[in-house]
Amino acid sequence: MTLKLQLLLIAFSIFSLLILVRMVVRYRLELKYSLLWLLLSGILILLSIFPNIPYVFTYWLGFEKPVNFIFFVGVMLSMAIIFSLTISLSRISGKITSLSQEIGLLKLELQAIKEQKESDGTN
Amino acid sequence: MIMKILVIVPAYNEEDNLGDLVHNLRSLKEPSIDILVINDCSTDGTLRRCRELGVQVIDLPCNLGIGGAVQTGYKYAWKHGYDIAIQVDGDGQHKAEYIPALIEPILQNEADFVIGSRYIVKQGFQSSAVRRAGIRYFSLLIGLVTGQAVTDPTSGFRACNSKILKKFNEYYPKDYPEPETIVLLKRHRYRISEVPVMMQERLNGVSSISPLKSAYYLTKVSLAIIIDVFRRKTVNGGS
Repeated sequence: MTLKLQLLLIAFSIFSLLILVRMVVRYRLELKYSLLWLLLSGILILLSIFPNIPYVFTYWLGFEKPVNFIFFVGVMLSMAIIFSLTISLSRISGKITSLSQEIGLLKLELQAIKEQKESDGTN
Repeated sequence: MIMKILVIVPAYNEEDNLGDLVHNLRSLKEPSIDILVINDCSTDGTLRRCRELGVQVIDLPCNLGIGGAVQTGYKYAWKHGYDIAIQVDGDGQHKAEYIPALIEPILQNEADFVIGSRYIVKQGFQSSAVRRAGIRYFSLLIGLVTGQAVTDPTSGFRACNSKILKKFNEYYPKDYPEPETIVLLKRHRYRISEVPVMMQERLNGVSSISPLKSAYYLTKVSLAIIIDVFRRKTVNGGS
């Protein structure tokens, strides 16, 4: 890995961590959903600052170059994040369905109560 | 004993079909039924039509699709202590005159869930050849998975008792629910039967399943049926 590439990686991973933290600080991103992202950028920073860590895994697992290993880890973690999003999405769509049904049921009930009240008023 | 019976009519853009349907349902002498239309966030005048007809309607704030819409009706039926709920499509395919036959097995306590099938006595609207092939395929798959013989698994003309209402109140499949509910109910050991009915080709508007969606439909429903095999069986479901 050239120094130029290493610097680029360090800059990129620190920059993304800063953006992430800033969003959490400003309540734009919930901490719960940022945890996996924090883990990802933490690992990326660690790996780009100490390229010797991936060397061990690189040769042990048989990757061509350490940078390939780093990208591999990054892609895997991204997948984990995307998957966790799909899970949240399913849960949320289920909740929206129940909420809509509940609102529909309540609207009908409310209308019945209103009509009841009107007919009570006229009598 | 007087049974409380609810007819659930899921409707999405059915303003032209609802009038006849409601009229036919109301002209039924036996049994006495309540009607509940579920307006699944229609973009036409379905809601206005319901108000004109003076029929009870649940007006959903978001479009939930057939599964979510129908489940709203089942939730209502469960909450209000109905003994039987009947599902009738809002497009006029299902004829009100078959309702007594449809609920008969439930009244006789011979079944918990009854499906109105076009393919027992092969009369009336039979759907296109491609659709029929698909339906036969689902019958085969459901038979293989559950051992239950069903001739018309996609039929949305069905009736259930209060035990199933309880179940449907908790869970109901989402987008293409008909075949999946059969597998679900069978897994919980409910008794399912079919009665012959005649259907009509929808009068106005277009069916919600376009040819483009068929491939998706086939794959999704097949997977739903197969995945259900891996779900846990319950012992104290039926009877």
